[in-house]
Amino acid sequence: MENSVLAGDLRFEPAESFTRLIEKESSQPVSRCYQCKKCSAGCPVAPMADLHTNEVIRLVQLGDTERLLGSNRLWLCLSCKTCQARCPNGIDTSAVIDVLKGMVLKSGKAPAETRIPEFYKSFMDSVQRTGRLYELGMIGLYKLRTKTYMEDMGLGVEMLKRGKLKFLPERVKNLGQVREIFRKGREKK
Amino acid sequence: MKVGYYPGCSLHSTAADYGLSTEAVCRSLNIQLAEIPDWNCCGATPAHSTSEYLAKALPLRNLILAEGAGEDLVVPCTGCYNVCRQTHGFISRGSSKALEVNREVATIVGRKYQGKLKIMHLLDFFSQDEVLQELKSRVVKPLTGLKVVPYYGCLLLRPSDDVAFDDPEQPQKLDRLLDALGAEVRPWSYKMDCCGGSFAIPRADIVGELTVELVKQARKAGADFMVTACPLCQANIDTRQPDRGMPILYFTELIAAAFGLKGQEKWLEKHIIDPRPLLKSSNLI
Ligand code: SF4
Ligand code: SF4
Repeated sequence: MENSVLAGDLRFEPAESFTRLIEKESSQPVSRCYQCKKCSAGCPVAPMADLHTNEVIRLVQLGDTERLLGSNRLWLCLSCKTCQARCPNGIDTSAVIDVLKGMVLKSGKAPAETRIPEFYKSFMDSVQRTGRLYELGMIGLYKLRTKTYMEDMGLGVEMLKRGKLKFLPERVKNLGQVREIFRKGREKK
Repeated sequence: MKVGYYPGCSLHSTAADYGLSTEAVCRSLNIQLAEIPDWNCCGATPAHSTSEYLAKALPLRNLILAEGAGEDLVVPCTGCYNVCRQTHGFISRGSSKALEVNREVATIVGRKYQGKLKIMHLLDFFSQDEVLQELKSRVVKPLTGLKVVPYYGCLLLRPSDDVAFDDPEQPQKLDRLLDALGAEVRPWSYKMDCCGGSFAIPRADIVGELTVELVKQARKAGADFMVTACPLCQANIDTRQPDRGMPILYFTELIAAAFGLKGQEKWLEKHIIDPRPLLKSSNLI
C-alpha cells in the first residue's frame, strides 16, 4: 500500500468525511455497499431518474456532492423501501436520500424537480395551519405555487361530489402544541 | 372489546369509504373504536422528505396521547401505521437523537412517550386467530366466485424491522382473510409493488405508469377486483386508470359485504370506479 498512488492522497479525505457525515445523519452503513445493484433492480422510478439507487450510494462514498444534490432522483424517490428490503448490507437508500433532500433545501438551491418539493411544502403548510391535512387548502396552495390551475379539475369535482374532499378543514383543538412543534422544527434547520 | 383508534386525515376525507366501512364492521363485531383524543396529522411522506424533526415529533404527539388513553392502538391507514411504528421503533432504540426529540416533545405535550403502546394495523388486528374465527362465523354472504388479488402495497410491511407483521416479500394475511370470506384469491407477483404513493398530485404521470402496470397484472391474474388496506393505493388505482376498468375495494368493504351489513351504499357510492355492478351481479349487495 505504501507505494500506491492512492495512499495518503488527501483528495480522498473530503469524500471520507462526507460519507461519515451521511452515515451519521441517516444511520445507514453506506460504506458497506459493494455495488451489487439489487436496490436498483427493484426501484420503481429507475426509468425516470437520472441516477440509479446504487449510484447514489457510490457517489456518497466518493463525496460527489454536486452530482448528488443536483439529481432529480432525490425527489423522485417514493420511499417505497424496496431498496431497503433487498439490500444485503442493510442499507436503506431512501433514508440516505431524505438526508440529501434536507441538504438541498438547506442550501437554498433550486431542487432538480420542482413539483414534488412544492407539493411537500404545501402539504406541510396545511398541517401547520390546522393540525390535520386539509386537502382542498393544500391543493389550492400547491396550484398557486406551481400554476397548474386546470390540472385534475374534473377529478377534483368528482371527489367533492362524493364527499372525498371536504369543503371545511378539521382542526386540532390544542393547535398551540402543533404550532410549537413546527416552531421547534424551524429552529433545528 | 375496546381499542384505541387513529383514523388519520385520509379516513375523514379521501378514504371516507375506508373509514365508514371500518366503523360499520367494528360496530357489528362489538369492537369499540376509541379515537385518540385530539390527534394530529402524522406528517406522512412530506414530513420525512423535508424535516427530520417534524417526521418524528408530529407522530410522537399522537403516540403520547394514545399511550395516555391506555388502550392498544389500531391504525387502518397504512401510511399512518408505517409512520407510527417507525417512530415507536426510533424512540425505543433510545439513540441520543431519540431521547432529545422525546424530551422536547414532552415539554410541549406534557408527557414523554414511554414506548409501551402496542400499535397494530387494522389488517393485523383482524388477522388474529380469535378475530379471524369470529369474522368467519359471521359470514352470511360468502364471496364465492369473486376473483380478487390482494394488493398490500409498499408501506404496510417495510421497513420490516419496524413495521412488518407478515412476511415482507411473500405476505399472506390479506390472502387468508379474503379466503376466510369465501373469495377466490388469485396468485400474482405484484402484491408489494409501489403505486406511486404521494405523487398523485405532483407527478400523476409517474403514478399513471405504475398503476397501469399493476392493473394489467391484476387482470392477467384473472381478478375482478383489487383489494387493499391502504388509502394511497386505493386512491391511485381508483383515479389514475385511463379506462377506469378495474375497481379497487378496501378489505373492510368486502367484510361488510360478506356480513350482509346494511348501508353499504354509503361507502360504495364514493368510489370513482363503481364496484357496485360487479358486487350486484354476484348477488352480494
Ligand atoms: S443493494 Fe445495497 S449493497 Fe447492493 S448496490 Fe444497493 S446499496 Fe449497495
Ligand atoms: S425507496 Fe426510493 S430509491 Fe428505494 S426502491 Fe423505492 S423509490 Fe427506489
